[in-house]
Amino acid sequence: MNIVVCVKQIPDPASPGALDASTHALKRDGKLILDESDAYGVEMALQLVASAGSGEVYVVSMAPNGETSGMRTALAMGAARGLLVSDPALAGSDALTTAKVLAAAVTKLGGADLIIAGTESSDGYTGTVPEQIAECLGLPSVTFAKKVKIDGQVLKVDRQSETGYDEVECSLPAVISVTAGVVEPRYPSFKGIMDAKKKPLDVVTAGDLAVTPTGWAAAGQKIVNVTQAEARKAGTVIEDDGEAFGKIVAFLENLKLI
Amino acid sequence: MSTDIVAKDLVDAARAIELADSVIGKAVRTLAATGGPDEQQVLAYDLAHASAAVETARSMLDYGAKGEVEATLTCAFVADMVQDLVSRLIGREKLWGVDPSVMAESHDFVSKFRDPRLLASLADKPGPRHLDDDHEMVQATFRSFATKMIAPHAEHVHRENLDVPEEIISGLAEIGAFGLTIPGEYGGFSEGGDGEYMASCIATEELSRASLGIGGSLITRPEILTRALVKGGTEAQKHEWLPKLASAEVMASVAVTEPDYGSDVASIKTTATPTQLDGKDGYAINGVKTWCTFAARSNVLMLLARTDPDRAKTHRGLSVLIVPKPRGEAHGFMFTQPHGGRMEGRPIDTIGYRGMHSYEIAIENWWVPADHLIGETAGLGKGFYYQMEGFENGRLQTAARAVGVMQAAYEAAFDYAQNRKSFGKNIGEYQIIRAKLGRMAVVIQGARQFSYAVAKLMGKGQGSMEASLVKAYVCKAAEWVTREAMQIHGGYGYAEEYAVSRLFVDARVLSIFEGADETLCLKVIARRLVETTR
Repeated sequence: MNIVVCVKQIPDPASPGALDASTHALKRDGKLILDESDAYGVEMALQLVASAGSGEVYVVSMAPNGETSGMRTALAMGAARGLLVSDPALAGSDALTTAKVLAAAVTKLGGADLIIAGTESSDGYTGTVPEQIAECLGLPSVTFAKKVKIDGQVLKVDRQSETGYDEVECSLPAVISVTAGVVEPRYPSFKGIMDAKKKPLDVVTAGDLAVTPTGWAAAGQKIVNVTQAEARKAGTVIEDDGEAFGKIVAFLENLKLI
Repeated sequence: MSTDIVAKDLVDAARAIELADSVIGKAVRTLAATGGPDEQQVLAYDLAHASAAVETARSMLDYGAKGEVEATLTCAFVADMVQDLVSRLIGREKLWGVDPSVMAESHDFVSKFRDPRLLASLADKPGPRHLDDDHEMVQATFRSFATKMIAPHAEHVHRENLDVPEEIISGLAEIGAFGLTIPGEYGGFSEGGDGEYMASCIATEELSRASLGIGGSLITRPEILTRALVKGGTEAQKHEWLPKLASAEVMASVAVTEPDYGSDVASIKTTATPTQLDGKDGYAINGVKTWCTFAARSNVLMLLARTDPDRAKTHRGLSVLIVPKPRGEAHGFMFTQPHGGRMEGRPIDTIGYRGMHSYEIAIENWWVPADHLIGETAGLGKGFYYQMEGFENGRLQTAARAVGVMQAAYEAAFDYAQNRKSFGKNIGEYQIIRAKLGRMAVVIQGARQFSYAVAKLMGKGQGSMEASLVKAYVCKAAEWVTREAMQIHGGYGYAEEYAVSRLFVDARVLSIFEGADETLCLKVIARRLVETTR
């Protein structure tokens, strides 16, 4: 059972981010970390391989400047090797080009029984890349996986829906996107951190993968405008006249919390 | 205000350090000529602390070369060090045998970097740590673990005087926090070198940032026993105990201090007498130990006892034994052995550093097999040296603990200052508050960088003196930083509901345990200064 996890390396959300004035894209010139939403995929892959009893977990990523810090975190968690696609010509790539690149990276690693991605990245939120990877590779795709089981050559997924979850099955190989919180990601151990630097992490260009970068000019999507998030409104103050509990219950019901 | 740091400032900083070092060198020669540390205790103490500040400043110079903020922090630290040195010297010039005008050359430099406006400009510039990628991952891992697993319990455990939650111990074991210094063949993953000392420092700071009592202190005790075993244990002992320490199957506490002999370890009275039990060789232990932190929860005591009845042999008559015991209740415990051995632990309530709990333990005829003496017959009389091996690293660990507590205090104070309005604006906009925060940032980064430097030295088998210096400087600095953080909180800082009050009482233990400040300064640092300054 070999699993490839597509991971994104993003600017640390704990640090204030900045947008490029002309492209409106997030600046990525500093240190990048493993997107927390991808840590769930790495953990799920490690658990599935452990359950299968054999196999490896590989990670693929696309990032500028040869940045590998986030991928090293995945290796420290237990992934066996990584493949980074880093190419200045890929700057400004849209979701489809990203999917083509990642699909080609998966192919370069020799394919996989299962490909896992996060439902959406924490900094871009297009939420379309996993399905596009599946299309590029001609594989079935199951989205919003909250529970995953492999039974022989059959993939069994509990797929999150608005009202609960659907039980979905498909054949392997396949591509799945997992929801946040699907598993509890492990912390990299000291041993894992020390071993990570010895694990293979190859860096290739778009040309190495025979993918034609589109760049900003030819991207199929554009960020046309960026506006400030709406300021948080003042909260509601409820004076307790002896009936405040009813108002609190109504407030929570309105939010569909109870 | 623009700091406008130029290369000349760093040159001036280096010159100020050089001058300060020469002042201390001269004063140490005076100390040696006028009776030494035992006779001139106040002078010896002042010189020990001044020397600690000088060495901290020296370790900052490399850091200062890495950028403008780093340079400003470095110069401000050096100026602070000079001010401290001069304040210790003034009025005692004859005692020191030093002409204070020697520091006059650095006056302009000190004026520039003690300017309140400059300190205020550093309030929100604590500076980057400059860790390599591996150590950044260690920091991120332990920051995440401490935030999720330790911080949510910190206040409750402190306020209710509860125990360390077990999931913290098991979680740390999973990350491998207890196996960092244990060689691979014994179940750990030590590879030698400075990396593991650095990693241990970084991890300890992050755990202590969340809580000194239930996070930052868990690694220290197993490490002290680990170092002693690696130094003096037989192969069988290493294979028996080190894997269990790495996995946290065995948690250790240290039983060295005695009620009548706190820092004077060489005079301890607890005995371990060769005694057979059911035909097996072993030792019967008798005596009273105190300040045994974590002794109820621990599975073994690392106990220093007199195995040679000739008390004239002082520290050369001591050995270290690994004493297994059942896990006990936090409020006190009493265990017996079938042949009549007895161990009773009484908790010592403390104002802070809660969660680990400390105990006075009375031991009567508690029997352990002969192979529980570290080094067995070859370890007889070497216990003092084995435990000192562990304690040196313990001092570095304690410095890292202090940095973590300081960092938490700085962050709490900074956050409070941004949100507390007084006389029409946030108090974080007032110069007096910003200057306090700025000096905190300077002191914390200096303490951190010196602890990194000591970790690198210890990785090379050096740094014994520096471990004492960093412990002395950083632990005392933590008292000031937490005091000022509490002060910035005003009345709320004195309220238990604000975490800064916990940080304040926790910080007080740092200069007391792991070598009381005065003893460390007189018996270790000042003595070594006299020996090495001729």
